Amino acid sequence: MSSTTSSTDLVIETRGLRKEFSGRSGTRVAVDDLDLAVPRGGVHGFLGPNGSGKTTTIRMLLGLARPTAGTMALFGTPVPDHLDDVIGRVGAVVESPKFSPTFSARQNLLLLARSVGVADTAVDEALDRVGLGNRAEDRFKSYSLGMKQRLAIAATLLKSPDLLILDEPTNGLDPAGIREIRELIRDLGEAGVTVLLSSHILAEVQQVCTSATIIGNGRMLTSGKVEDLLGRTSYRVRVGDPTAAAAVLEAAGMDVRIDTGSLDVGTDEPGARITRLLAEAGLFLSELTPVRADLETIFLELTADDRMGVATTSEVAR
Amino acid sequence: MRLLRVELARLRWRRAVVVLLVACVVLPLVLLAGYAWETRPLSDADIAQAEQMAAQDAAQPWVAQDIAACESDPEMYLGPDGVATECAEAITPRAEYYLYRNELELASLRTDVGAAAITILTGLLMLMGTTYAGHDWNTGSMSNQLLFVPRRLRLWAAKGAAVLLTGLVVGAVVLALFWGGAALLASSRDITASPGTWDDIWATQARGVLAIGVGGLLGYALTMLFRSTVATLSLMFGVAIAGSLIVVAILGDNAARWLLPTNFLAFVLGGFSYYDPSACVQAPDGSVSGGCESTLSAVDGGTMLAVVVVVAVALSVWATHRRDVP
Repeated sequence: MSSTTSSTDLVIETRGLRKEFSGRSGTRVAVDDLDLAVPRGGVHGFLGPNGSGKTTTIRMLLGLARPTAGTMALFGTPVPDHLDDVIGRVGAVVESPKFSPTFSARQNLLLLARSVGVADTAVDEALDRVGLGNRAEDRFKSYSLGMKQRLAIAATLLKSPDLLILDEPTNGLDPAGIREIRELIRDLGEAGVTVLLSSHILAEVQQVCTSATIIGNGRMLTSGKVEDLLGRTSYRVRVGDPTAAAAVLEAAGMDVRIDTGSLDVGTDEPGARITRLLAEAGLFLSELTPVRADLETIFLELTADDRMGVATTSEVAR
Repeated sequence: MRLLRVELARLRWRRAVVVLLVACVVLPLVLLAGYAWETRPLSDADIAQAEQMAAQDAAQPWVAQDIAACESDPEMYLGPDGVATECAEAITPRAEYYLYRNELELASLRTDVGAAAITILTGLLMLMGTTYAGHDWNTGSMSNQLLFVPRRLRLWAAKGAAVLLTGLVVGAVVLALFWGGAALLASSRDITASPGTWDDIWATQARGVLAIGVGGLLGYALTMLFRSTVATLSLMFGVAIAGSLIVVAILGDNAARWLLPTNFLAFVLGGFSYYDPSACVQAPDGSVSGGCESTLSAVDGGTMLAVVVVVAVALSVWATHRRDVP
C-alpha cells in the first residue's frame, strides 16, 4: 500500500492493534501491533495461514471482540465506540454462515432486514441476486454448505454496503460455487464496493484481489498492490550461445543469470525487447518464456516461520 | 420498538417456544379439570355405594363389641361428657365416612391448584426465556444479529422486553382462563365464594402474572450470562434439587425463611406460613406447646426474589457488554 494514501481514503485503518487471549496455559497474542490500511475501492486480500489473526482482526473491527490495545476506524470513524454510526455501510460474513437452522432463508433475512429498517422487498432481491430465490422458503438447515455461504452473502447485501468483509467465503464450496462467489466478489468490487477478502487460499487472492495484506503470527508481513507484491517478471531464454547472449543483455541493463543451457533474465521491459537485442547481435532464440513469481512464492518466503494450515495452489487444485 | 417487534417475531417463529406456550395454556387447564373432577358433586350412585359399605361394616362383630365396651365406660370412648346412649351413634359406621370427596372451594383453589398453576407457568416461561436466548448462542446467530445491531445492550434489552412482554401476556391470559373456568364451575355448582375471596384471587393473579413474566426474564438473563441453554438448565436443576439442601445445611432450622419456594409462595399468595423454631410457644415446664410457625409477607418474599432477579440481570448485562462474542 502506498504510504502516501491519506487516512481519509482508507475504508479500514488500524494502528497498533493488539489482541491477547488469556487461558489456562497463559496469555496468547493473536494480533500484535497490526497496522492495517485498506484503501477505498477494489478487492483487498487479507492473507495469512490459519491462526494468523485474520478472523480475530475482523471480529475486532466488527465489534465482536474487544482489542487489548490499539485503535481502529471504519470510513474514518473510530470503532467500536462509534460502530453504530457506520455499521449500516458494512456487510460482513465472519467464519461460517450463522443463522437459525429452523427458520427459512427468507425468515432469517427478514429478521435481519427489519432490525435495521430495510424493506422486506430487499430480502427477495438479495436472495435472487445470490441465486436462492427459488429456495427462499426452505429451512436453513436443509441447505448445502454452498447455499449457506450464498445466504450469508445475501445477508450482507441487505444493507447495500460500501464495505464488504468476507472471511473465507469459499470455504467448503464446490468448484462451481467457488467460481460463482469469486465472480460475485469481482462484480461488487467493480461496482464500487470495497471488499476485504480474508483467505488462506493464495490463488484466490491472486485471482480476485487488486491489493493484499499478508499477516503471520498476528503481525503484518507486507501489504500493497498485488502487482507490486508479485514483483517484476523474469524470462527464461534459450539461445545457441548463452554466454554471448548474457553479455548483450547485461549491456542493456538486464539482470542475467546463466543456468544450465539457458538464461534467467530479470527485467521490467517486455519480452520483445530481449528478442530484438539478441537478433541485432545475431543471436536467435529457441525459447523465450516469461517466468513470474506468484503470490504463493512470496507468501511462503514471508511466512517461513508461520506456515501451518496454509493451502497452496497445488493443495487447492487437489 | 422496531427491534422489539423483530424479537417478538423471532420468538413467535421458534417451534420450541410455540410448544412451550401451548403447554402454558394446556397444563393449568388440565390442573383445573383435575380439581373439578376431584370435587365433583356426589351422585346417587356414589351415595348408594357409600350406604352399602357402611351397612356392611356396621354388621361386623367388632362394631357391636365396641358399642358394648363404650356403653360400659362412655367417658373413655367419648370424653368426660360422654353418655352411654351416644355410643351406638358415635361408633356405627355411617355413609358419609365413605364419601371422602371435598367440595369445590375457591379459597383453597387459590392456595393449592391456583398456586401450582402459577408455579408451572413461571417454570415454563423460564424455559422459554432460556431456549430463546440459548438458540441464538448455540447457532451462532447472535454474532450475525450484532453485525446489524452492534449496540449489545440495545439488543439485550429488546430481547429481554420481548420475553417479559410475552410472559406477562401469557400469564394474564392463561390465569384469566383458569379463574374464568373456576368461576363458571363454581356457578354451575351453586357455590359462592366467601367474602374477600375474589379480592385475594385478583391479588394473587396480579402477582402471579408479574412472577411469570419476570420468571421468563430471569431464564433469558441467565442464558445470556452463561451463553448456554444447558448451563442455565443445569443451574435451575441444581437450585431445585440441591439449593434447599445447601441452605438448610448452612442455616439449619432457620433455613425455611430463605428458601426460594417459601419466598415465591409468600409473594404469589400474599403471605406464607413456614416452620420457624424461634416462634415456638413454650409451656411453663419447658416443653413446646405449639406455634413454631412464622408468616412471610408478600413484600418480604418479593424483596428476596427481586434481589435474585436484579443480581442475575446485572451480571447478564455486564457480561453481554464486556465479553467477546463467539
